[in-house]
Amino acid sequence: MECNKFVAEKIGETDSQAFRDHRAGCAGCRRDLEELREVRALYRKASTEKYRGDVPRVRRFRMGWVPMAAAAAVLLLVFGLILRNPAENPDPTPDKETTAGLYFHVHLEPWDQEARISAALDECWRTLEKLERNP
Amino acid sequence: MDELIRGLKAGRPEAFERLVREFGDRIYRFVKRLAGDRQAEDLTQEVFIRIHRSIDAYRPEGRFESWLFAIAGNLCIDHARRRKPEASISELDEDLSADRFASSGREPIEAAEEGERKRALLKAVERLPFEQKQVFLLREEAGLSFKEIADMTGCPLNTALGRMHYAMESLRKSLKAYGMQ
Repeated sequence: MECNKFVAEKIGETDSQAFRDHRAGCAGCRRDLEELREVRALYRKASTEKYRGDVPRVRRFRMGWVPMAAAAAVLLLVFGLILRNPAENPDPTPDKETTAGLYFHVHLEPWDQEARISAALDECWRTLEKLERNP
Repeated sequence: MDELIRGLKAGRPEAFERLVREFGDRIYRFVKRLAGDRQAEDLTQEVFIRIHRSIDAYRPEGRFESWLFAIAGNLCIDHARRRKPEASISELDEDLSADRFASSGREPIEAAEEGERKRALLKAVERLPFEQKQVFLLREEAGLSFKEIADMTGCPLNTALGRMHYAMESLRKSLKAYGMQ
C-alpha cells in the first residue's frame, strides 16, 4: 500500500514532494500526519519535569610531571635513609592515624637486616597530600 | 560546547555544574521514562558521575549530546537488568497523579482535561516496548537525529524510523482509547 512508504514523512523526519502529492489525495495520510503531530506536541507540553537532585561532588586528581618527580624524589630520599641505616630506628611506633596500622617489614638481604617502613609510608602520604593541596 | 568539554576534561567544578545545569532536566526525563521508576534522580546523578569518569574517552567525532545520552541509555539498560520486574507503572501512576499538570489561568474543566491527556500520554510512553521507547526518547528528549539514533542503538536507519513510527502510532492509539484525541 502506497501510504506505508511514507514513514519518515509521517513522523516528521522529512517532507518530500512525493508525500505532498500523495496526501493531497489521501485523507487517511492527512489525518495520520495531523494526529502524529498532535501526539508530539502534547508530549512536549507534558514532559516538563525538572531535575531536583544535587550536583554530584566530584573531584579530579591530576598530578603533573613536577609534583610526580618531587614525590618520587621524596620517596627515594626516605627509602635511601632507611637503607643507609636500618638499625637506627629499629622499632618506630606506627602512626595509626595515617597508616591505619599498615606497615611492612623489609628484609634487606645485602646487610641481612630488617627494616620497618611505616614511617616512610607516612611521609609519602603526607607529601602527596601537600602536593594535592598545593600542586 | 567546546569550552564545556575542555572544562570537564580539565576537571573544573564550574564546568561540571554547567553540565548539570544544561543537561540535567533532559537527562532526568530521559532516564525517568526509560528506566521508569523513582530512582530517576539517583540514576541521573550516576549518569553525571559516569560522564565525569569517562570524559577523557570522549572524542569529538560525534555530537556531545549523542555521547551523553548513550551513557544515560546504557545506565538504564544496566539498571533494568538489575531491577525487579514489578514497580514502574504503579509508581508512575502515583507520581503522575500529583496535580503538576494543573495549569492556572484556564477554565478548570479544560485544564483538567488537558492534564488528563498529558497523564495518559506519559503513561503510554512508559508502556512502550523498550526499543521503541528508547528511539522515541532519544528523538524527543535528547533531540538526536535518526542517523545518530541508529548509530547509537546499532540498528539500520530504517529500523530506527520504523520504531519511532510504531511508538507514535501506539501513543496515538492510547490517546484514542481514552477518547481524548
